Amino acid sequence: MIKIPLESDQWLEMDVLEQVDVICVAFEEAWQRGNTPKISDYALLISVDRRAELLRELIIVDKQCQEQRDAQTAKSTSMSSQATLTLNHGRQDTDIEFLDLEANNSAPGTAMELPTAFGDFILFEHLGRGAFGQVYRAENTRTGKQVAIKVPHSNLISEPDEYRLFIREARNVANLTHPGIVKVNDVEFVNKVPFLVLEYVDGKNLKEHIDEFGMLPVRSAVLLTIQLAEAAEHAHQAGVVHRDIKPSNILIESPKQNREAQDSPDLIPRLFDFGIAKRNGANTLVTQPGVVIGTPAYMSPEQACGNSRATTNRSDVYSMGVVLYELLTGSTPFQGTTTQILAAVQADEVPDIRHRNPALSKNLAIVCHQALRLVPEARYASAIDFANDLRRWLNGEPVLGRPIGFAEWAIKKTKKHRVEMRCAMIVAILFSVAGALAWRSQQSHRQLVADLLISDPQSHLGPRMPGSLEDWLINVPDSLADSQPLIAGIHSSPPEKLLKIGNALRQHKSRSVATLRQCLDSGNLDSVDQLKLACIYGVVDPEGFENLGVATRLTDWLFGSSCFDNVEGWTELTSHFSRPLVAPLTERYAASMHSSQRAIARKWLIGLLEREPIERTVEAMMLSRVDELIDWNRLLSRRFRNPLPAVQAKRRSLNLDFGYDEDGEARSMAYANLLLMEYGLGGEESIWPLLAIAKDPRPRTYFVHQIGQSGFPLTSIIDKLSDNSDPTVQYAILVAISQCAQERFSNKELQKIRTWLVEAYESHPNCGVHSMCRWLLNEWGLGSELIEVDRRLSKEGFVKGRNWYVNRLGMLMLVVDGPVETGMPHPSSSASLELPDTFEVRRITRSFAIGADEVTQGQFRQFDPSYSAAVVDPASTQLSNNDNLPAIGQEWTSNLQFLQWLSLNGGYSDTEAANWHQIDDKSVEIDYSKTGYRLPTYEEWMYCCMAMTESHCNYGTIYTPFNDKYVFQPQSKKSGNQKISPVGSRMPNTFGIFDTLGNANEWTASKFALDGTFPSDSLDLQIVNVRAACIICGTSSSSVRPTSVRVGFELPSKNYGKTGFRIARTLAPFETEP
Amino acid sequence: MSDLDAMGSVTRWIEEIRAGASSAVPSVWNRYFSRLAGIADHGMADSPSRSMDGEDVASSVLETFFRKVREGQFPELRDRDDLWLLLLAITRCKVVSHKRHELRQKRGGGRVLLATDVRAWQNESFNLDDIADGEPTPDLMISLKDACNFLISEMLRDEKTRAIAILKLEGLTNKEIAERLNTVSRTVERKLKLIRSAWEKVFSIEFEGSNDDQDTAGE
Repeated sequence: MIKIPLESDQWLEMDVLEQVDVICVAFEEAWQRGNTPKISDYALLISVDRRAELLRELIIVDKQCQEQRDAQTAKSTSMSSQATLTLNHGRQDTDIEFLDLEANNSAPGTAMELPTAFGDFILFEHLGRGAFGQVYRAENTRTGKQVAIKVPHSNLISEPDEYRLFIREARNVANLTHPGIVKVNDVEFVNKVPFLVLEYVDGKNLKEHIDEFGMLPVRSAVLLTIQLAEAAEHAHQAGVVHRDIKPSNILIESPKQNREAQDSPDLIPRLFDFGIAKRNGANTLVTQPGVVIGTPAYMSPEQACGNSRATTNRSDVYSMGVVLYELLTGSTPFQGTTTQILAAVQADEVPDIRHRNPALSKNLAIVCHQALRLVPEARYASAIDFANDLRRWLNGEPVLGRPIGFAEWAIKKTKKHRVEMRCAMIVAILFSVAGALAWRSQQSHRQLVADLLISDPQSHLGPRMPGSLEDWLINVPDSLADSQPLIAGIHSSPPEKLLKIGNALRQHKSRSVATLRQCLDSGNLDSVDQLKLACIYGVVDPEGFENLGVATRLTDWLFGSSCFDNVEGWTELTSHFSRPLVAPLTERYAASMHSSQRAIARKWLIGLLEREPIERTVEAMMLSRVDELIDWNRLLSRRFRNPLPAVQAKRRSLNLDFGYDEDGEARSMAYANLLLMEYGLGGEESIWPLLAIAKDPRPRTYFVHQIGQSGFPLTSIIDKLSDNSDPTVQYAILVAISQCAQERFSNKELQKIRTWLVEAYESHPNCGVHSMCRWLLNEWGLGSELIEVDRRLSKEGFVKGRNWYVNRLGMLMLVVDGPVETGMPHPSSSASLELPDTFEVRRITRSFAIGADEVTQGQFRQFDPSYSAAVVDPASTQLSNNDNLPAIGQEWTSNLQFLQWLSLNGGYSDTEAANWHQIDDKSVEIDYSKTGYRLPTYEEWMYCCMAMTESHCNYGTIYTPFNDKYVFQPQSKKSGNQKISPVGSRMPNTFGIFDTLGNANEWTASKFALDGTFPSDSLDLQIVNVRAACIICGTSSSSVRPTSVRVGFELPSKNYGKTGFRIARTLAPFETEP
Repeated sequence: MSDLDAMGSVTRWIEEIRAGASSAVPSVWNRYFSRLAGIADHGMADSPSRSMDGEDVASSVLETFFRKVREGQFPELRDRDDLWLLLLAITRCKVVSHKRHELRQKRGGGRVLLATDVRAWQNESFNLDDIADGEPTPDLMISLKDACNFLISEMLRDEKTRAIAILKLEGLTNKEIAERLNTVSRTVERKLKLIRSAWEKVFSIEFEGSNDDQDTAGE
């Protein structure tokens, strides 16, 4: 008994959770009393709207109680040693539940009350009753997922054999996974009753959809059929034929959000109910021979005559043809009683679709009819062929389907003895053709055929036999009818043989062309034979090949099939008709990600380009990867006497405004390829100027970062090093050298570079080159050679003519001779990581010097021995105390104190050093007219980060060039470690400033207004709000692409873990002027 | 200044607690519970509970729990639904609203509170770290006991539910509880859900109260 005061106020006040709990407790108590309570009894205790919630709970409690009892039984069983006693798994009443289910639903109107429990599932809604059984919308309580459940009719599983077969079939279907097929997740059992668990699709079937929304536009109908055919193809590939494709078996998924957009091509058809699907070639006992399975109007002729063994993939093609026919005309081809339809389907070609809908395009009608041929062999060989031809029609390309032939119309008229009649017709045609044949033979032609015989040992078995390929080749008929030897001959032929056949046929060009064309048009070939035949056609008539429109398909096929293990053979063959192949192949080449696939595409492409003008080669080369350039270089040098001008002409024809979208990325890469190729072809003189700082940094960056991998000789680069005319070019050359493996240089060259580096380090007038020399020597492990030089430089101080000096404390300073201007993103744009749209030009009037390196922890500790960076972030050991890491974590005002201390130690007077004072706890006044050390202003630091570039991304938009530059690498997912680099260990920028790239946050001192604006930098006295000093992030690596600068603000009192700083000072006029 | 939708923030806050708990560094919590246990050791016996109307289930729960803590068995706070988090949050909430009340009293008495101070304090006092922040005081211990008593004795409907709450707070796993009470684990899970739902209601009422305080304090 269940004692719940269901009417009491207390019960009615309870929320769902509480009511569910009370019932579950009662349910569990019933179990514990030794009963086996039924879920359905308890489910009724709660109102319908709360029932699902209760069922979810009851199903699990029930299961756990059962397990508990089983465990106890097992325990007592083993204790009493009654080993023979079988355990009672499963509950006896489940069968009854199932039968109830059947009984209830077979009599509509007396349906059981839903939701209800069914095994681990909750049935919510009865969706339908089909040939297969009952379908419910249900929830899997184990996963919480919504599913559909199909319970088969009992007659489908009543016999043991049928039962086993049913399960096997169901599992086959469950293996199909395709977006166009409603997924059968699994076969499950409730007390031995199997049922299917399907993916639940929210939508109507195609029939209902059309009833509700009316006819589809032609384009949507075709798109829908294409998707359908692709789904069917997937099933066919797995050996499953649907056998009952019809609109009510096609679900149309509700378009997300906009249901009214029924004419959008977004209709997604989902094929379901492989309920009578049979496995191809396997035992087909599920259906008895002669019993017609399917729905007459959509049934193929071979199904209509009850020949289930003859039911193949092509039967599904026919049914999809009927669906398309109906979508395009509003009715199925044949109408009448079931018997009438069955008779008509078997006897007749379907009525011309254009009689029903004259507005239809002729080609679409051809495709539709091709799918609906009476004889299976005359239809598309596969669903995908059907889909592809429909797509061709959509794209306005010529279709492969052919209008129904005379022979077939003739057969249709006789209606009987189809096969015999067909043979008779063919014989008749043969004779008429034979009569018309001129018996021409040429010696050279015979020779070619003989050549073919010799090269193909298998042919020796039956040379010159009537009906052999060789015989056929000697007497090429000019009719389709007798082409069987050719078709049979090419089926398994390698490309070499196809070429030979083509060469043989070329001797009778006009006749061969006509015959081949007929074969191709006949539609009797499978798609591979068709492509092979097209190749032969190409050899015979290269100009005509283009009109076949098969170039893309041929390319796709060769790539998509394993037959492309003979690149040379196919290349040789296809080079005879290369022109139309170049474009699809180039596209393929560019899109290939995998290197082996790329290598094949490249090899093939290079082979084809042999006969093409140089421009095609240059265009393909532009899509090359850097390590492939050398191949292109060889092709160009071998094929053309002087290829350089064509490459240069191409480069000059390009617009340098690449843009920053994805295409812009590809355009700039292609441009860099041209630069590299010019270099490789000996045209380096014209590219040097392009290595200077430019508006768009990418060609320069990509060139210097890739030259090392290109395989081109590096001699000219080394020679260019000594040309002092433009330091930014020299900087670029140094980057290029740094990207080359040292093995690329001879010992002599290496020595030459090293000597140059050490000399340039000491005396080069440009800071960028100076810093780059230091970095490169350190990279090469030669940093120790610089200690002595550093000592000299520090003593030397500022030398006129250089834009850098080393101060008394050994710190490298970049000298910037004002006034200068820099573009900077508006602070308001810095919050987002996207590229700023506008750059505001800011002017710095004073001359200043700025530290090339950040202040290190070691330096800071000299000022404050108690300083420890470890307190900032104890979790991150990488950031803990290390003299060479940047000084981080201290407050902004501590930096000001450090700088004042530094000024006094660096030889500046008290007056010059005292360039700041605290006004109150909120503001600090900074005097920029004094020459002691201070923090850089926002504009000064920005200017250094941008390093003269005008681009948002001053090293390009891909990350590879940054590998040597990142300062701070955010937490890596793998190790969980944050990595910050020692000061000065990463590659400096063009100015010679280190650590500006890759999330390099640094403090600046700038007056910052709360409205987010900055006043001009020209004032000498500024009051800085210490509550909002700003930091600037150098290149941000977390954005979509690396950006040059990013601004952020921090309260100076907060320990901002990653923020370092560098020193700056205002220069007195005499310090820069001569 | 504060146009927070009260219910919205409760939900968010609970979510934050859960999210935080699942990623919280266990050592922080272990340290916190050790300190609480220290207080409990000294303060428990002689601190009278202010709501001693019903039976004092809390004393035994807390004693058992802190004995375990002292033995090195810390509660598994990775469980995003842990009752301990709710208990602490509710206790904390009561203490905070009490403190706010005191602050408001002081405002008239001379010291001017800056708007920013209040804002910072309000924001910061409502995060997970703050629960575990600072030295727990005997006062907190009393509040904890009061809250615990109230939440178990007043807010839970039947004996089984109360028993599950107690065992859970004492640090047993769901499986152990199921075995101890001879019930299936799903029942334990369901009851815990009921308990949390009941306690979250208490929490949102407490929170709303303190939210009202916020609005007036910021003006």
